[in-house]
Amino acid sequence: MSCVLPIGPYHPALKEGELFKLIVDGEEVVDAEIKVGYNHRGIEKLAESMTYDQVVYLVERICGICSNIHPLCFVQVIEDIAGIEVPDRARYIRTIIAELERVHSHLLWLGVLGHIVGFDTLLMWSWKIREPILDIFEEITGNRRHYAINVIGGVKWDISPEAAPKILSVVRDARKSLNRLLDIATRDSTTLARLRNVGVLSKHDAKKFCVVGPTARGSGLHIDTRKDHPYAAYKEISFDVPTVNDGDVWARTYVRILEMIESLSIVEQALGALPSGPIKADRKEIPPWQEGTRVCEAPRGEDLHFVITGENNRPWRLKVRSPSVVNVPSLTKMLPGYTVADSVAIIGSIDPCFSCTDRVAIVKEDGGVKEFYSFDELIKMCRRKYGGV
Amino acid sequence: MSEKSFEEVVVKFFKERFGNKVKSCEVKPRMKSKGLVVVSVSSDVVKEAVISFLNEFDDRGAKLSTISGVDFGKNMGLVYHITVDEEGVVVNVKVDDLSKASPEVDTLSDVIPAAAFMEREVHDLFGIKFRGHPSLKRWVLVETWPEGAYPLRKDFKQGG
Repeated sequence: MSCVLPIGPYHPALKEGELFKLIVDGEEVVDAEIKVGYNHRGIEKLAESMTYDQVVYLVERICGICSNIHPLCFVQVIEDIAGIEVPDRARYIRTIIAELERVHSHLLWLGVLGHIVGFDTLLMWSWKIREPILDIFEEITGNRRHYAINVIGGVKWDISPEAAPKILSVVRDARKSLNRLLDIATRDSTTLARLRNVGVLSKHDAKKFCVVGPTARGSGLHIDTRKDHPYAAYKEISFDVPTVNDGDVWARTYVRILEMIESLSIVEQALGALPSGPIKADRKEIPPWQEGTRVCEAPRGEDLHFVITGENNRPWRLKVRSPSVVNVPSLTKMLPGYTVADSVAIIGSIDPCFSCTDRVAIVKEDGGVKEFYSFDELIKMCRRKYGGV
Repeated sequence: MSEKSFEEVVVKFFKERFGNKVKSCEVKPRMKSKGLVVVSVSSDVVKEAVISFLNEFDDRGAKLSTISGVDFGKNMGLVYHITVDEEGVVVNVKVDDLSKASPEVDTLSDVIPAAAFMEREVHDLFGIKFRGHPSLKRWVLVETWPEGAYPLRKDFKQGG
């Protein structure tokens, strides 16, 4: 007899709200149902009321982990529409920041995975490697997260000649440590036993569910937006796109470690070839009623931004399709057939970002009475809460 | 340069297959990148247009990235974003003739499982119905969200 085992929306193993209804028969998961939306903040709607420059900061707040990729994708759509040519130096700086972000995001995820499977030493190790990378962000942009480096037409912060050797030394240290992690991922029998042949997503299903990023590459799909739809300086840099055919949790882990090593090499190459010159192009008018679409490779996979421009320097419509939106539904395919104990590792293996998946909610229902809050009311509520008038 | 660019191949594909059902077809340039093809078709053929394109260019890595709802003011619309990974081209298949009172279009979920979730999101936020969808229950909004309130429509009022 089967019964329903709910995991979430609030659960010790999940850092954000999401509901996984596992239909279990004894220890085995036979079916899974997912409900998202516990973190919906109305960002697409909000964007329609903001100017393009404000939207850059808004989309940066979609996600705290990949806070660079959303503004990068958005500014490129606007640059396409307005016909703004970004200076070479800015394209290279964008590449460096995007790759450092990938490394820090994967390291954060690797630590969380270690924690989930009961290997807390891995958590300590990978977060230790991650720390100096956050210091580099602080050195370049002034912030460890939410760097606000992308602006329409280029970047806001330059990489100084003094910063370059510091970055290179962090990259060298990180590579050494990563090789050690690679050793664990391929040889440690306890880790392999926990990750191997768990949550398998076949290549066929990966395609059917349109999954992206390391989730797709772990199932043998050779897709990477950086290679397929080159942006920033990726066309001028040589790098590999590692893929593994196994499709299990281990494959998704292994692919991410290999990716980090590639990312470090991209950072080195981009720093070595960093062109001189300005970092920001002059502004041009953004014409109304035009549309543009761009895809960029976020740490979790393809991120898509679609904009229809409107009047008064504001977008008429902004659509954001972050990678987790397509990766999360594929869990309904990965979970059945495995045990409840494996389910958290499987859920964790796609690196789900729930903030990215959810973006709209403003209503409160109270005993059947709909209650909407106006902006002024919200401001008043905040002030009341924090002791203002 | 006698060989056709992939963008031109896409334009030709839609014009030949769907004739006068294609309202417009244009290639928009993108900075230091291949173009964006925007195809506008009438809503009765949109399912066939998207599916036949995905099948035709499957070996070029064509995949459905997402579906966007759009409120065009007078009408409701949809944009199907297809990324052709081997070619570096993005194709937006657009529909802009759905009536505001009862917008309906055929579902893709019977062919592409991923579309089921994309369509639920569009249904939540824009109230567009997908004919033949197995279950258009709430995806991004709470289950208790009132019927008939579609937050991303332009006439949706936030606040009192």
